[in-house]
Amino acid sequence: MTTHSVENANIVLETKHLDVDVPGRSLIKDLNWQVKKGERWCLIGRNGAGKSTLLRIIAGVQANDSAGQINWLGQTLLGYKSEELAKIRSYAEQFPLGGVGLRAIDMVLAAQWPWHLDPADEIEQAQVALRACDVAHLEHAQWQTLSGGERQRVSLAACFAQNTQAILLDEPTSHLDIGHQVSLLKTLTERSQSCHQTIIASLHEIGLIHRGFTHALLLMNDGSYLAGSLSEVINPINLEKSLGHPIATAQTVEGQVVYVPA
Amino acid sequence: MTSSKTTLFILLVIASLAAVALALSIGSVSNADAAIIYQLRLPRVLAAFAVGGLLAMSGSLLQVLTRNPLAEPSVLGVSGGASVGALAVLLMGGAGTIWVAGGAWVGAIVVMLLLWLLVGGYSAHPSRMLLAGVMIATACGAISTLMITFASNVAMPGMIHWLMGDLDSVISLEAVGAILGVWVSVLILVWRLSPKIHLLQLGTDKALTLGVDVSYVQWMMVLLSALAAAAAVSIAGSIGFVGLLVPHLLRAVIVKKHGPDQKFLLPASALLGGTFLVLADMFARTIIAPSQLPVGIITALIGVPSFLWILSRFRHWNT
Repeated sequence: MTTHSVENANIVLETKHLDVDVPGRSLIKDLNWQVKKGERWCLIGRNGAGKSTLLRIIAGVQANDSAGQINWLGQTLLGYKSEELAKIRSYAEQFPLGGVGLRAIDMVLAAQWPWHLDPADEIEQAQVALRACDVAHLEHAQWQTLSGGERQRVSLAACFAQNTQAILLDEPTSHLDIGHQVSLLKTLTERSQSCHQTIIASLHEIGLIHRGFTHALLLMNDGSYLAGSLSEVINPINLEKSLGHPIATAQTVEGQVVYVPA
Repeated sequence: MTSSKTTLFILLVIASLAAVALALSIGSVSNADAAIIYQLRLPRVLAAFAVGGLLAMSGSLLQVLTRNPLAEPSVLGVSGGASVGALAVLLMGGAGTIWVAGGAWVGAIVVMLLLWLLVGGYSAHPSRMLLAGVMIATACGAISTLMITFASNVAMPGMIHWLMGDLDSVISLEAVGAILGVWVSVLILVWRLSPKIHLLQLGTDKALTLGVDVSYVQWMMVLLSALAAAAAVSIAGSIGFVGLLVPHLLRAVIVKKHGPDQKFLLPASALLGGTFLVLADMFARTIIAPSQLPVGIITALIGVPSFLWILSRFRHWNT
């Protein structure tokens, strides 16, 4: 009994019998998924498999019109006030918007709003977060002048500054150069390990799966899924089923397994 | 607000007072006696201040709401809708400040809802929003002209008043009190909402994840921007471009150091908009004295080139 409740206390996010639909199409069927504290999940699947929609629904940005339940920390998503939820999960969009005149630091400052901090503390925290994501030099740069990859790193800094238990990221590496892809995942991993933060990120770069993720959710074309630790679910056969293209493995000099299109 | 923003805010208060004092002392009659100053100039100057402040707040709100730096009550047809609403009340024989202002508010809100329906939300398609607004503004101009033409026997302020805007008609103390009351009320409500309005600049999804009650804030912005524009229109007709110029000027001053901080920009618009229109109206009534120009012509002459300049500067605003 005791071990059971300890296990439950560690569950950050849980979906029960969740269906994910878009108008006219069913994307994911009957998703029963548990994400525990400190785990780092990657979402793998083809274009249109429902990765972004799933992230938006569990983030509470998009209403879930179909069946199923979503629980954050054991409480149903719909039961939360939005300002409470803002302290539990942060979410970085795939294409973050920026208003007229906004600077990089404004995005990060705004992200601390749920906590109602002192303005001086807010600025300090924002600078720490920008440094962690290697964009401190862009602090005062206008959002409109940033490249896609710079915007993604500023968005991640904003998620760090929001200081939530879980971080949801929609394709955080899609616009990054290889160096920044690897260093961003390294930053995420270190952060997750030191602060026990849970990470859920959609990912197209299968070569990065073993760069810090602990678990994977593979979305299949027929609406089914595979969820589990990397050793359980990540192999060339499952990846091929999910992505619709043969996958081969290769090994780096350090002995790390990487997946590549065959 | 940090200290430099506070300093700037105090400067704006001083500038407002100075503009009002200057406008009171300058006019077509030199050595004006107390009667002229108190009965003619004071109501007009105070009305100009409130109208300018309301138009600037309306413009600031609309720019954030539609994610479009060119949004403004006269550009989007909100002022035009208010003109049509006010004229409809006058045509039906309605009289009194409250009825005309109520008609203007209904007209302004109808235009806001029409934009929402036509474009499909306020923030999703900034450029379509602008096109739809320009078309609605043109239609409202035509409808206003039609109404005035058919109702030439009804006593109402002239055509220019509803299409261009002026502060020429005699303004009762009751009307001045009402418009100043609206200015104060809108300012307080907008000030209280401003931290959330600030977050809306990051997009509705991001604001949602930060815990902002987005739909409540958006609908409050719709109601308040319409109310502000309508109150201004029912006193002074449709004055253009104040809501465009003032927010951009303020943003240009603070953006480098503080970003587009709406907690500062919205209340500051209420002051700088007032100052701007008081001075513009002072020129309008003195530049060819004893004749007067409609103040809407002055704001348009400054506003149109500014609009084009902003248009060229924000080529990539929706990326």
